[in-house]
Amino acid sequence: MDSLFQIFAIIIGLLWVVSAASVYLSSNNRLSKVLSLLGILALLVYISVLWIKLERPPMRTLGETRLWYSFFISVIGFGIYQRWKYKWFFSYCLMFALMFLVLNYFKPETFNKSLMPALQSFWFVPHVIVYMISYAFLGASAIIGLKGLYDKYRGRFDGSIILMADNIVYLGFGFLNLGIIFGALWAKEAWGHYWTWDPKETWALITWLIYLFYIHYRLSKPNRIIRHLLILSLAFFVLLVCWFGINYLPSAQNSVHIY
Amino acid sequence: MTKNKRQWWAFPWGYRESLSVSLGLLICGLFFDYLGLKSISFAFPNNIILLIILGVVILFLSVRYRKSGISKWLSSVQASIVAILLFVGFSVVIALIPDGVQNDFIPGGVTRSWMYHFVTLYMFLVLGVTTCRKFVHFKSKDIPFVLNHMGLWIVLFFASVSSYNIEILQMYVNEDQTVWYAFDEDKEKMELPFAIKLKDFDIDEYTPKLALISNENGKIVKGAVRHLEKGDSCVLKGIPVKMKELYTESVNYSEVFRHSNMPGAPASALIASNGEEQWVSCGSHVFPSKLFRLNEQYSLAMLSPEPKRYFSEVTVYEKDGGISDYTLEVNKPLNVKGWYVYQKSYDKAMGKWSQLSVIELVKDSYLWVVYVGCIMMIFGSVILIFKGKTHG
Repeated sequence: MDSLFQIFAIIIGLLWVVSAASVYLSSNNRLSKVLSLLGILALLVYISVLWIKLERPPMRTLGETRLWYSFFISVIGFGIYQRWKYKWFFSYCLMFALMFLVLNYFKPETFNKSLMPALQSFWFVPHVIVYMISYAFLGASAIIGLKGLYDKYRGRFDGSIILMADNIVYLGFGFLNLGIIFGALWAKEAWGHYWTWDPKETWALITWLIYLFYIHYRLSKPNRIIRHLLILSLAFFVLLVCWFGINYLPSAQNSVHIY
Repeated sequence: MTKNKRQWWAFPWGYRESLSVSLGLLICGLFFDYLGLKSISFAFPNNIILLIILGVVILFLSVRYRKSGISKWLSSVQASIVAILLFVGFSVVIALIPDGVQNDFIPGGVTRSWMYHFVTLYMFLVLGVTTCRKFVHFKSKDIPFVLNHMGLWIVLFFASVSSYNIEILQMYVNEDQTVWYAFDEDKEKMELPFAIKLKDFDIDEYTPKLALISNENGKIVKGAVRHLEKGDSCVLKGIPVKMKELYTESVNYSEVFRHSNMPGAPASALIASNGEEQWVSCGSHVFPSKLFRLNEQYSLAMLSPEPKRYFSEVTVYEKDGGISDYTLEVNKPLNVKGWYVYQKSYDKAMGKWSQLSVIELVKDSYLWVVYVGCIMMIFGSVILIFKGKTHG
């Protein structure tokens, strides 16, 4: 990224920090909502500028996917705050989103325009966007998992948050489904094989199976709340391995999913 | 303490029985694998036989014997959870054990083992019976459930059998040549119902990147790769670099590069750094590359250009006389007589001067069924997204 990113990151960071703090400090939440929305808007503007500057969708590098992730998780935090009114969830999502911008700030990407032919496809944008939305929802569910575990430990657990987590996981899982299917359809179009057990694919499958497990286990043992919260938190760890960890696997160095 | 202590193997079955059954299947599979029993191929007609047997068993269990303990167990969430966990196990094995090591134990890898076959069979029964039972007293609220579960069954079944039936061939065509045969995995020559003439093969390239390389080991310095255009400048590891001239095709005339259309003429750039000017070039299969030694530690190199787009202009002659022209490109396959035709590769050593186009031909008769399953899952997922989880 570049100096423009640094300026945007600082502005967005300030907006979000003040927003996340003011939701607790002030009885009127109008200010925090407006500030967080301004931050989201600024991020969207930056992504658009980058898109135009790169002459390709900014979805190729890890840093670029972090921008989208940051955008979606802040939108989700805002939306869910509107719906469920949990202050902690709102501020956690904003801080989580900010963390990804901070990562980009300190680990800038090299400027790279090139996009290999296999990635130049109609499917590129939907595949990546749908995954980032899914990851953002599932990240939000992990926040609930950790918060729930902490509340259980403190002995003041509020049962409704697991219901909220369920909804979020269903949403995230729906997008995860779409991501895998779009990926498979794209691979068929690009290579003639929809599934090749590429390391990223295998880990994506494991992630998918773990969330599938969560959904079914919730139905099987609805009262084992601590276990559900644990699964939610650990499942996100598997997701992170799929997202970032793969890049460090020696067996994955020839994968199209290395970025 | 426990109010309803149930005897092992007394219905309704739960986790214990699900785990025992799947463990039994795993051990059987392991035993078969250990004996070195040749794995079944699900190529035609075995795939159809398997589909009929599975279909009949699933239908009987979900309709005729739906009150039986076995049917209730197969459609229970406990049986599904065990199936999911077994697949987690297999996927982790596939993810962590390199293909080569897998092949040493089981030719073709884990997915060709008896263990995998048995566990897959268990999964198909569980998923099949669970889905089919929903049809008996079908309500509109079951639609997303059926779309997701049945879609998954269809995708998994047909994608699995198609991996035994798929035909993948490679065709090598040189410019101005017409070819009507291709080679399978065993390098066996196969005749096709059509011929392909390569009129032209071409590559569009990005302008090459510049990179710092270490004088010590010749490796690219991490984070010191830049994409510059003529007139751009940047700082690499504290060294200022400015690109004063850039040619995408050029030849070195006594230490000065000039534009040239000669085949194999590589890209070059005139670089200014710390008051000194020198040419760098990425070289080609004809000309050597050229570096700019910046200091004791680093040199500047031009990397080989990356392809932006590569494509073959082809004419397809069908046996029944049909003739048509196409541009074959990555992500834009052709469909001719049931074969999908893909632009696969080219002569990498020659780069953009390659006269050879490598074309892949794939015939996958079950593709449309897999697509039906995918579409069902897409609709199922969209409903899932809009509805979320309905409690109560």
